[in-house]
Amino acid sequence: MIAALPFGPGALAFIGLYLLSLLYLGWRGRKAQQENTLKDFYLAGSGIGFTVLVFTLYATQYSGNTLFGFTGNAHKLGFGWLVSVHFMTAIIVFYLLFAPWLHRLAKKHNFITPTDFLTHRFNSTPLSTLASVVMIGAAANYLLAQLIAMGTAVEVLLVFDVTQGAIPNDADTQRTAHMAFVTGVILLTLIMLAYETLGGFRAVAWTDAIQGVILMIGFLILLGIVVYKLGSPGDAVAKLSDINAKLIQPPDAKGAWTWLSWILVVGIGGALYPQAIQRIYAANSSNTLRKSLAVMAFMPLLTTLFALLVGIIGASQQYDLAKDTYILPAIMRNIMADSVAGYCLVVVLVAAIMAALMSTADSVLLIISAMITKDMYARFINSGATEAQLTRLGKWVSLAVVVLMASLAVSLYHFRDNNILITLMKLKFEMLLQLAPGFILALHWKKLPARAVFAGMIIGLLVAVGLYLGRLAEFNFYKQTGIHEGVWGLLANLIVVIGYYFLKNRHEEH
Amino acid sequence: MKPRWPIVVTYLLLFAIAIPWDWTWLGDAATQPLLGLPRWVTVSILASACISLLTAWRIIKHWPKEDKE
Repeated sequence: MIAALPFGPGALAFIGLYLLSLLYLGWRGRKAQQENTLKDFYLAGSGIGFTVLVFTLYATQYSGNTLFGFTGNAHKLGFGWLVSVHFMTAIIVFYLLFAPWLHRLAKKHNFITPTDFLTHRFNSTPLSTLASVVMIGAAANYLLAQLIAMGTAVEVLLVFDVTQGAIPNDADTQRTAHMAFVTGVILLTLIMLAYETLGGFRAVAWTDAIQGVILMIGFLILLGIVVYKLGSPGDAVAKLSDINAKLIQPPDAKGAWTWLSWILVVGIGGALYPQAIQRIYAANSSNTLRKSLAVMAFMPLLTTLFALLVGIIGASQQYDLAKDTYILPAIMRNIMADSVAGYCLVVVLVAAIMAALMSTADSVLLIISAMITKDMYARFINSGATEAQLTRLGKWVSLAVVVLMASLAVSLYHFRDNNILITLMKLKFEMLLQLAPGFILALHWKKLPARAVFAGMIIGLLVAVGLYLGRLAEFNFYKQTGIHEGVWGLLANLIVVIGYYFLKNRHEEH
Repeated sequence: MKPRWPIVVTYLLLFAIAIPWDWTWLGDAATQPLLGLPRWVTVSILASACISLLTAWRIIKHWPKEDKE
């Protein structure tokens, strides 16, 4: 077996030190705790400053998928994947529609979870509960995907054989691969759980800051060294025009509509991630949020575009790979073998990959814990619970959720490439999109009634999820129309919201 | 941050440029290099950079000051 990234003790010590630093920050977060309240645990009390907010937004928004998935997609689709730069930029554009006002309301009324805004605005238990269920479902979906990605990253980094372009099929290697996957999931999950339980949001945000810095350095190094070693994007384009010209072709008319659909789905869905809304609440001032979002507006050009160019340059190298997502380890193996400097840089990149995966997963885990504790338990089971009781419960909820999700991730090892599982794990955006009227329209449309939003959300979810599940029965509406099911759902949702409002007004006039 | 129509129209225009709607009429010229990348890619990336600049400018200059409930 040829190890993909044969690390020496120095490299392992660096990665070990990095992981230990996360635990240290968790402990510091606990020390910095000011009071035993939900606000302190889930929003770091009075909030976080500019530097930490920028990096926690960055590290949470750019996950392991940006490194593995985006480079893999660029390797497969070529410049067709340039849409990823646009949809990541669109997230910040859509923030402009609600973040400033939501932040002010959150500070004024002490919101903890995203649903607190809906409860404040509509005072409707069915609407708040439905929104919580949708967000918990979408976040759990995302957490499971991140945990599987953690295991897969460790597996690929340790066992992927660059000469075969795959993980070798012999029994020994397969056993090692399985072990690497399980170890990756369990080890990284335990570290994540430890620092999160110790320091809550404060620890998550601080570790995100470290992880964000490493991730950003990782992206800069990655593109720099890939260009130095394998040639510029211009060289890659020249090569691809000879060997695989379709990778540099613009999309056709239907493809262009699909680009628009991607921009809407990820732009709106990404802005409405519950962990993203939690960060809007957590900014210590409006000015902090303002400056952080201004910086974030440029991150797609420094991150997603870099991932795209790495994938394109990789495609021009014509590696024989079993999966497109193996392009990054293949490039890293290539760089590593080249020089001591290359070796050191790959070690930083591996830390960046772990940072990307853990920083997203910890944020998602924390918001799931907050929503189950505050939106479900405190609302329906024990409304008289004290803040200290709820905070303690929140930690137990984190443990229960992570044990459940990690067990699921480990038990799904042999089904990771199953189409049904892959399809189900991509459902989150279609669901989150249906929250848009409740969060965005409701901030600007003062007379928008709860029933209209509730009815719109129900119809939107039925259309989006119903059409999406059609993919499992070979009825792929997305492929037929080029537009994501979530967008159709949002369209139906808006028709119901607006229709309900006007019909009700007309009825009242009569 | 009231909806200012010139800004909204500028966003729509920039996204319309960023999405390569129909470059097929240009034939091979669409993939001719411009700044080292296929022409349609360079145009799309420049449009994206303009969207980032516009967004940052809007955030810095026109962040809402009034409360809204």
